Amino acid sequence: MPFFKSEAVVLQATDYAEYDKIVSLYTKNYGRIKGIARGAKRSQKRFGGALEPFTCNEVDFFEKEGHGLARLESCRILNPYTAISQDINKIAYGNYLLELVNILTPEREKHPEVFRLLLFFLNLLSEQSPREEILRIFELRLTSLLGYQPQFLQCVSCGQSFRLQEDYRFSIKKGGILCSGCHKGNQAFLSLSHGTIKLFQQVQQVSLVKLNRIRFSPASRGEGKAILLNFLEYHIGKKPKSLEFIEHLKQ
Amino acid sequence: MVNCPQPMQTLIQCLSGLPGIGEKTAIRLALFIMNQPEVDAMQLARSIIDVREKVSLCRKCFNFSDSDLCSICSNTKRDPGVLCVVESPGDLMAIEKTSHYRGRYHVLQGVIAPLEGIGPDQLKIRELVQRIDIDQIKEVILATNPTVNGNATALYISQQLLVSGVKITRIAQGVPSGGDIEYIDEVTLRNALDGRREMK
Repeated sequence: MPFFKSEAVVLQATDYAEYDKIVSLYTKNYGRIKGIARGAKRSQKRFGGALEPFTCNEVDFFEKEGHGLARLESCRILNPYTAISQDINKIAYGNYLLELVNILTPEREKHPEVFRLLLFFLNLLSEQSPREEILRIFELRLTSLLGYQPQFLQCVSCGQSFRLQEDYRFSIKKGGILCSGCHKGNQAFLSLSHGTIKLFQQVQQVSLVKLNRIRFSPASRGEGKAILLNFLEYHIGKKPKSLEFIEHLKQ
Repeated sequence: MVNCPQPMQTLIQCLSGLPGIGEKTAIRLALFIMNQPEVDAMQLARSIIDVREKVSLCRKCFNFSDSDLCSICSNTKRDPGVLCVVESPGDLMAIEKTSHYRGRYHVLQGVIAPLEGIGPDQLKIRELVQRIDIDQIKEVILATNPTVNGNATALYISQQLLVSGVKITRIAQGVPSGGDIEYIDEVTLRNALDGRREMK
C-alpha cells in the first residue's frame, strides 16, 4: 500500500456518510487528488480545520488498489489563509479560483506550475483588497498552463501577427483573435480593443511576481469578462457555480 | 439481497437508505422489528407517518413545528428581542440542550455554498431581514458553523443587516472545554487568542 506526502491546497470538502468527508486537493507532487478523510466530521483532533477550502497543508495519504479515492491519513496546516475567510468578497473570488482548478485540471497529473499559480493568487487575495481583474489574470494564466491558451498574438485564422492598424474580434470556438479580413464584421464574434489585446498579451507573458502590477482599464475589464467567461464556458461546458455568488454580491 | 419475504426485503431496502446504516445493520433492525410486540412496531410506523404528515416549518423561525408557530416562537417567556441565527434545526437543538439561551431563533435551512451553487436566495435570509423590523429585534447572534461557508453566510447576513442598526454578534470560537491546547489546531488557537476575554 503506497504512502504519499505532499503540499496541497484544499479545493473542496463535502460531507460523506455520517462521519467522513470527501476532499478534493490540489497537490504539488501529484496534481489534483480526490480523497476520503475518515472520521473527519466526528474527530476534530485528527484534521481540525485543515480540510476547509483554501487551507494549504502538508498531507499524508495512501492508496488501496482498486479504490478510486485516496485515503487521507493526516494534515499539517502550513497556511490557513484566514484573511480570505474573513472577507465576503475574498471568499467569493477565492471560491472561483478553487472551482476553476477543480474543473480544469485532470486528476493525478502532476503540474507544479499550477500549484505555484494557485498559491500565488491565494496569497494575493489574502494580502490585498479583492479586485475582479485578479480573476481575469488567473483565468488567462491557468488556461495557458493547461493548454487552452487563448491566442492574442496573431489571427487564429490567417496567422497574421497582431498589428495596430487592424480591427480585431475574438472567436470563442477558435480560441483567439480574428483580423478584419477573417471576421468580416461578423457580429457573432466578440469585439475587443487594441488596449485589451495588448494587456492580455502582457498578462500571458510576464513573470508571476510582476502580475500584481498590472491594472485593467474599465473597458478592458468589461471586454475581458465577456470574452474569458464565454471562452471558459465553451471549454467547461457549463458556467462555474461560484460565479453566481460573485454576481449576487455585486447587486 | 437476502432471501426473505418481499415485505421484509422492502423494509431492509428502506432502512439501508438511512444515513450510517448498511445492509447488515438494516437486516438486524428488520429482524428486531419482526420480533418486537406488534403494538411497538405499529407505534414506530405511526410515528414515521405522523412526523411527515404533521410536522412542517414554523412560519416565523423555520424550525420544525407541528403548528403554525413553533413552541419557542409562541413561548412568551423567551426574550423576543434576541435572535440566534443557525444553519439547521439540528444546530438549534444543540443550543437548546444547553438550557442557557433564552432568546428566539431563526433557522436558515442551509448555508451559502458557492461551490455547490447555493446562494443567499435559497436560504431564509430575506425572511430574517424582514423579521428584524417586524419583531423589533435588538440583537442578532450569528451562530453559523465556523467553516468557510459558515463565515461567508455570517458575513453576508451582517452586511444585509448593517442598515437596520441592530446589534450583530458572532458566537465565540476557540478551545473546547476539556480540550488540550497541545492537540488543538493552529486556526482554532489563533481564534481563541483573538477572542480572549479579560478576567474579572
